[in-house]
Amino acid sequence: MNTENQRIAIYRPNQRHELGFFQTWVIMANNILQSRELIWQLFKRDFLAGYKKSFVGITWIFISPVFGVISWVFLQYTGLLRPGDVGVPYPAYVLIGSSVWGLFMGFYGAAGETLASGAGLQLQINYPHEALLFKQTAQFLANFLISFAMNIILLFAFGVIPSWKIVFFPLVSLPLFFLGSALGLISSMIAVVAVDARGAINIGMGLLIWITPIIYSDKVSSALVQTSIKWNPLTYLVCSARDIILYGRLYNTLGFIICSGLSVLCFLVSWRMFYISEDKLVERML
Amino acid sequence: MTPQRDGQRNDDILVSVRHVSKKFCRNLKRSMLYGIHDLGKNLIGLKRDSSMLHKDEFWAVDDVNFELKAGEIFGIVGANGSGKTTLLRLLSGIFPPDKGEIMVKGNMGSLIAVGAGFHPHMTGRENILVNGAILGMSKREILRNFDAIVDFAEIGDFLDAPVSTYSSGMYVRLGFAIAIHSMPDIVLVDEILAVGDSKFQRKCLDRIKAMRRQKTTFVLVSHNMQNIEAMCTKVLLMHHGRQLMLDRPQKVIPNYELMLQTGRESVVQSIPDHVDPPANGVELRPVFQYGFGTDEVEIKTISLLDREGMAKLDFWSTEALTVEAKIAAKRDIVDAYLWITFRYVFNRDKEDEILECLGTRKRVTIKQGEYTIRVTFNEVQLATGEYKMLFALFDDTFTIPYAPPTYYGYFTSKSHIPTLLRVSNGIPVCFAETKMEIVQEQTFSQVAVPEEDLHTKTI
Repeated sequence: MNTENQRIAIYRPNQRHELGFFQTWVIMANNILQSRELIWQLFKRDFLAGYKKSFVGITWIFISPVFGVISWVFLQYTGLLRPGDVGVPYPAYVLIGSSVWGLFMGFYGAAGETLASGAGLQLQINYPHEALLFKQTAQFLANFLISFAMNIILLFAFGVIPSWKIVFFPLVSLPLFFLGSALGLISSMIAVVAVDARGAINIGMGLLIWITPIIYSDKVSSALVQTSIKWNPLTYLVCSARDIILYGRLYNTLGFIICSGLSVLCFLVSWRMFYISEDKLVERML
Repeated sequence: MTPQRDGQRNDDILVSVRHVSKKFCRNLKRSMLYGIHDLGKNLIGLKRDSSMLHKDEFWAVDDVNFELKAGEIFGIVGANGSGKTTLLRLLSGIFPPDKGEIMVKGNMGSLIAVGAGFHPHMTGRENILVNGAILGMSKREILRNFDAIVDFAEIGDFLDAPVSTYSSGMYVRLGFAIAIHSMPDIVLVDEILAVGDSKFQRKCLDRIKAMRRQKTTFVLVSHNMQNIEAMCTKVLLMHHGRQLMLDRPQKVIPNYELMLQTGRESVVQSIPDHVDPPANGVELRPVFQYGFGTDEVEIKTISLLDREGMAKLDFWSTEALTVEAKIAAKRDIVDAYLWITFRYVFNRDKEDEILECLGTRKRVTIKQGEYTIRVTFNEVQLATGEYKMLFALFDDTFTIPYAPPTYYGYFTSKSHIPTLLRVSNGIPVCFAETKMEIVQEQTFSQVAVPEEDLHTKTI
């Protein structure tokens, strides 16, 4: 046993409240770095274990997007979706838009399960729970990237050649992670103590798609929808990520920058809130 | 909860628990409401006031204090729901305390549930990697210890089988093996060894002792008093979250047993470390006498003898004990009842009516004269502690004593099996196997004793 320089842990009431914002972020970032191996192992466990009993195994990751693609091809050739000119074939527009929307909702959903995904384990052992956020996100991204790659292939089938600026997609979609995770972390905490509120929030999040120009063009005639689109930060974030693929540009540069900044801020605030609250929430998971 | 560096403290102390309390709510919906309230306060940057109880809340751990040094094995005992596991969770930082402060120095290995994070569909090999990571080991550390873990767990061919196919014992073995190889400074063990078979339990206990020699500190929660007494350097007795007693296992365990069986909450006086020999050597002295008796028999002396016939006052519970009484019968006694019971003594100054532990009843027929009566208990079977003995001779209706029933004291019993403390209200819980011998002192001839009483017999 090393008696020199042993780590000393102090536990007392409201201990985390005493930490400043900056201190919290440093501790959490440090915890994430320290927990790299844990995140990787938990990711592997949860990602692969789901397919352990399956004969086709991890092939399922590909099967689901393929059927998604087939349904889009069906919509294209039957001409069911022809709402007007959006510069590219409409199904391609919706396909990529909804895929990016799915990315945002995935970030939200993954973060929303942060505490729940560690249920049981949290009551048995002490480890940095913020690691679960990254485990959840990694797990979601692993699934997302497969279907996203399929969608890009499908884009070619629709005759749309993505701009080379698609390489910026990860960067442009980063604010979606910050905003999605910020909302998801709050939702994750609310889910522990207010199941009903969590349900309502999830429904509300689902409805946001209707005030984001994803399945319709932003040139809709309704003034109400126009206003909603204008004030909805997701318009700038989701549409910019979509447009960087389809058109090689941001939806609205200024709007994107402002909303990105706000997303990062939201994330930092939410992350701290998670840090100072989750220890008390865990005991309500008994 | 993330440990915070807080400078150097007292070097010897690895764990310090000061006035620690933790509350829970027994109403689920109200608990959720309090949770929303707390969360709301956090949202606007306010601290929670956790020091007061609100409706339906109770202290699951209430003002607990102790300190542990390197190499100590600390036992926590108490009935179900006394707050043992909550205390472990507080120590490991899973829950923050609502009052007080906990300081933990060094790496904590938590075995509150063995195999934390095991996925049933993953193999033992895969789960070692996951569980090791959860316990804070790096991949290099896990791989370096991999063979030792597998060896210790004795899972053999099952290493590459899903852990859902493991027996509960194998599951525990693997979990324990990983935990002890994570090189913790402090290990919390919550009643998990009970799952393994006795061979593995032995192996675990041996490993705990070996790690203790290397100054690893253990906190054991167990209902197995034998393990607690054999392993622990000190024991905390908890009851309804409160710290009833903190002392050596030999002192705490009888109290715990008593509490379990009688429901009494207050801590009785500590059991003395030893009994001072009486002034007149090793004879027992009358310490309490009921006033009623026909005086047709006089009890002259009472001694306790070991197997070799040597009088003494301290016995092991597994040892044979002979009660030797020298009596004088002033008339013939036919079919009398000899009644011997042992009473646990918590407090010499206070008569307690509920502590009768062990006894025997014999039929005796003697003619007028002086006799030595020897009643031998094959095993004392008494828990660790101090005792006094009731020696009485009743008539054939078992109602009228020939001499005032008298308690003689005191002697001690030491036990490796502390659960043997059995008490009841006046009547011994256990009648022991005893053998009786009656010798007439004047003629040294065997007097008439019913044949059945001359042999070992359980009454």
